[in-house]
Amino acid sequence: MRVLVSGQAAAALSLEAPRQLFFLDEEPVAAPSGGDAFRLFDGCVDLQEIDVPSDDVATALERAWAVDRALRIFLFLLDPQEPEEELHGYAECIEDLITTYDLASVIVERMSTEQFPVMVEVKRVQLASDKFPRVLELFNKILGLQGHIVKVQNAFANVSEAFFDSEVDKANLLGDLKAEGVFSEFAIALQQGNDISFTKLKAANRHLAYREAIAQWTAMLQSGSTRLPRNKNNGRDDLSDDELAWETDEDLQRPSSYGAYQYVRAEQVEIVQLLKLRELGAARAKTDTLVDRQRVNSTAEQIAKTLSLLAQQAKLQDIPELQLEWSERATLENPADPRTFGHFADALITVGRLAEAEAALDGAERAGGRLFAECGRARILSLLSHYEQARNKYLEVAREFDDLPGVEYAWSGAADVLKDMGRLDEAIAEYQGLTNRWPLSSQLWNGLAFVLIEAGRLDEAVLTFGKSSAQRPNIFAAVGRASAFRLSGRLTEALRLYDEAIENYPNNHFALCGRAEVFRVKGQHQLALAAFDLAAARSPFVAEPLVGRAAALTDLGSLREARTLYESVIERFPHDLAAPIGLIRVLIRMGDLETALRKSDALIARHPFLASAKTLRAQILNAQGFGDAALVALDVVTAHHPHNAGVATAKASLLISMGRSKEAASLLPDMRPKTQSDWARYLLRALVLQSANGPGAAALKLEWAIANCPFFSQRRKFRDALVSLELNRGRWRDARRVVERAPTETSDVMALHAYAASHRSGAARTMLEKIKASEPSARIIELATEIARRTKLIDEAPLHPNRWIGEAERRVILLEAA
Amino acid sequence: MASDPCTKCGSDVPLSSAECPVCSRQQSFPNVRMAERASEVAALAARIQQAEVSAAGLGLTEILGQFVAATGRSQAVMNRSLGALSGWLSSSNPLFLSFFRQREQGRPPDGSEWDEQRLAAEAAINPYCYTELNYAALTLDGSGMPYYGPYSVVLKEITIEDRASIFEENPFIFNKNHHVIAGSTPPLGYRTSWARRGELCGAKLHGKLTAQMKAPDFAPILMERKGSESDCDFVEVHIYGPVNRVGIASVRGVAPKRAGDRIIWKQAVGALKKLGATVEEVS
Repeated sequence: MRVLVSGQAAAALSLEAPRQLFFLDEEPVAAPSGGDAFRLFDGCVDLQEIDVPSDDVATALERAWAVDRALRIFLFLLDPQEPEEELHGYAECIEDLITTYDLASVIVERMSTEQFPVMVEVKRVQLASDKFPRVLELFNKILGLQGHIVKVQNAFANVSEAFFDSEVDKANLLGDLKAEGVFSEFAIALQQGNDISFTKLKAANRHLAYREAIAQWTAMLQSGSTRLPRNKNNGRDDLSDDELAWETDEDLQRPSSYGAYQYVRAEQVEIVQLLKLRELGAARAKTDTLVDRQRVNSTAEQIAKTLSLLAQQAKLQDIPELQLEWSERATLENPADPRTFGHFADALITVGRLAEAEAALDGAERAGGRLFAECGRARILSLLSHYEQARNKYLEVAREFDDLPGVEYAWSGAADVLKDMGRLDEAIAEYQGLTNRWPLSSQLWNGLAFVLIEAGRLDEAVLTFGKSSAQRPNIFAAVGRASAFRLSGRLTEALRLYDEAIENYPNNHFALCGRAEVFRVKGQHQLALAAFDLAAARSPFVAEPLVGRAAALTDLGSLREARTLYESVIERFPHDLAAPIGLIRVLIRMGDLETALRKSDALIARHPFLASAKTLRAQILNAQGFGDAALVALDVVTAHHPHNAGVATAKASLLISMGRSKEAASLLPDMRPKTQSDWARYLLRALVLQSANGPGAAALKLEWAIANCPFFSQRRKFRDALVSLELNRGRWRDARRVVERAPTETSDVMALHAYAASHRSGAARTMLEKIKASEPSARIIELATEIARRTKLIDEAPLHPNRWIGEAERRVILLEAA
Repeated sequence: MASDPCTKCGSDVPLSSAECPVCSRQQSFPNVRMAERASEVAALAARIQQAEVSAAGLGLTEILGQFVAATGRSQAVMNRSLGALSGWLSSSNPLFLSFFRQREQGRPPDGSEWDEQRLAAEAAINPYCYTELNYAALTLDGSGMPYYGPYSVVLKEITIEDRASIFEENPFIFNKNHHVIAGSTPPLGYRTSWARRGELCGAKLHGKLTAQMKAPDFAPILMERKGSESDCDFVEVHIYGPVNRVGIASVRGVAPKRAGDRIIWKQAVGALKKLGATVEEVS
């Protein structure tokens, strides 16, 4: 029998004839027809539709009532506003209900869907439940779940809105998942370190329409900070003895010290686990306790070492707020140790507080750590783009302290500056020398690998990161390897590696942003936005997640929103370079070339080695109609950055637009494309081929690229070029088919032209409206309007000759290709 | 869509809106405006006139006058189960939401056929604002309809008088009796404003008055209870918007027998007293 039952109302209503109403402790009565009976349940939140045998309705009602009352009274027990003298009675009644009706697991399940609604006075509740073991056990169990409930809630809140029709739709799914027990199963599984795959599968099967939303939700739980390591010992394995054995042999030989060491080591492992879970309050509290206990039998030096070590762990886990806090405390505990100041300065530099970092470096120098101090100062100079000064400082200090342990960091700093200056071959050579001298240094292998990435030598970079990991598994090598795969278009492998990295370093913004970037280049914009949001939530002190989000918004065409976000990032992170570059790109797309030019000039003034800014400036000049000036500007950049692929591509694009295709061809080596830059050059080669061998050969090349390019934005450019090419040779229907095969991979203006030329007036008008609504640049508006005029979509005479549209499209394609 | 003129600029204001789309002047609540439409007022006036004629013919003019005056001072009562009352009093949200608003916020189960049955009846009577309405009944003695729950919650007049309209009876019964089906318009003259509730009561119930009746006899005329049976007769109050628990004037209910319920009731009594509401426990 189908029955509506509510324990809150203490009533049930049969939905099958003869309709009856059941009240607790009363005989059933006939229910009215129509909907009147349902008013009985107004205000009740526990209404359920269930199937029960007709003679079991009373039992089901009784149980529903008991659940409601037990939950309700349990909440009274938690409420600090309730009179203390009542609590004992509450606990007694709950004990009776959960014993009589065997409700403990139900209560845990229900209480696992929301955090405690009030601030709970734990001791008061435990005291009141002291004589009621089931209640006490229940309370303690639910208390332990609170952190996990928050995580599950937050993860769901972070699921992209794009999967839902509305906020209500999302809220309804959440309600269903809670009612079905999925939510609580996740919270409980996380608490117990169990796998959530089966629950995920059940939920996804039950809510097929929301399968992707559930996948995103659980991905955040699995790969993020909310998941405990697969093996509970993982945390211990993560920390090598080198990292934890902070005491000297002398310390350990002291009576009773070994026991203290063991205790400290175990506590540190626990704290690192809390950092991974981003349980910052708990990590902070545990550290305080550890330090307090160390005060009993340890020296200030040892306490400072503990704090420094934990600060370094916080850094590895991308939690700069604790890195900063603990490293500062270390300097207060032991002002005589230059390393504590070095770590503090490192933390300050990480969060962009450069002036304070200078002061901390002075402290390091006063304590005898000139090597630390000078390296820190060189790093600051490098961040401010004073590359020559930075390199000189690194080299001076490296030479001065060449026989000291740790000097390799000064040498690697000097090599890194070469990379920043675009002198990649020199940087590679220097790093190779350093890895020969210190072959066991994973940091130096990583440094070399990152330069190789910059030089586009991705396969070598992967191998080099492997050498780094062989010395000691580390997050930088893991993420670097993933990035090399991502850049070379091996997106599935990259995603897997990022997920693995996040498993152990759930707050690492390089890994989180890299993962988001994979979604972005695959064209999964909403997933990318959600992933960047997750990164921003876990790493709120760095610019990368916000810059990534702005880039994803740009991809989506939300240019105003992207511009606003970039501007806010620039204000908040004045030393970040990706944000101003992104802003200039957005301004170009918006057609605000004057502002773009002003911004690029200002950026170049501050960062004269920034090739990307100079390249963009040349593109702006070209877009403004100053092609010759743009070419000169690019030649200047090429002189400084001869190996920069982006500059060469921009120059080739410019030359093609100037009709100098043969010169362009010399800048476009014919090689199998891998990276986004390679694919950009491939497009330009197709356009050169079009000029030389005609459209047929170019079309074949473009079709191959569309089928094989793993990068969404590049595929869109290929598709645009192919549409334009087919339209120019009068194959309108073929052009439309290219659009229709992947509408989201074609730009709006090309789709407009294909639809309009092939007499799909309705689709063309829709596209025209869409273009106007998106507030694109004047160039795009002019092109779209002329297409509309020429194809009689609007009642205006064309303003340009017939070939103008094709040329304008080609200009747009070339500009984007660069 | 039906509309009436703005009280300030005279522009048409749809009955679904509480604000003039032209000058933004706040209008009266949609259900009240619907009840105060000239056509409704005229139709109710005709019913009252009929009642007065009948009462005069039966020599009950004075009694009818007393009944209209008494019911003109009646109160709105909502009946609730103990669990629903406790939820209202102890929730972080002090508002009692309408059924449809609650459904929007995820009240399970949602969108079922039985919800639609309810929607059909209520939307037929208040097509422009049924999603916003909470329901109560008129009472003269502080007791409500136990069929909807054993606890009678009387609301403070000041919190509802501007936004409440009065309707003849339970809409499920009204629709049946007046053959109101989907798409048809309910007959006129069966609704009024809070201020004129006595007139509607007189028009509806004059036939039940007798010459011997005194004031205390009016309560069971206004609300005819038949235990927990569903065909009890009452005059319905439609309250636009959520009802805040601060608006509770009094609660009357039985002392529960089960231990779990006794705790809930005791806690509810404490909460009600904190709100300044009176509580009457009946056996």
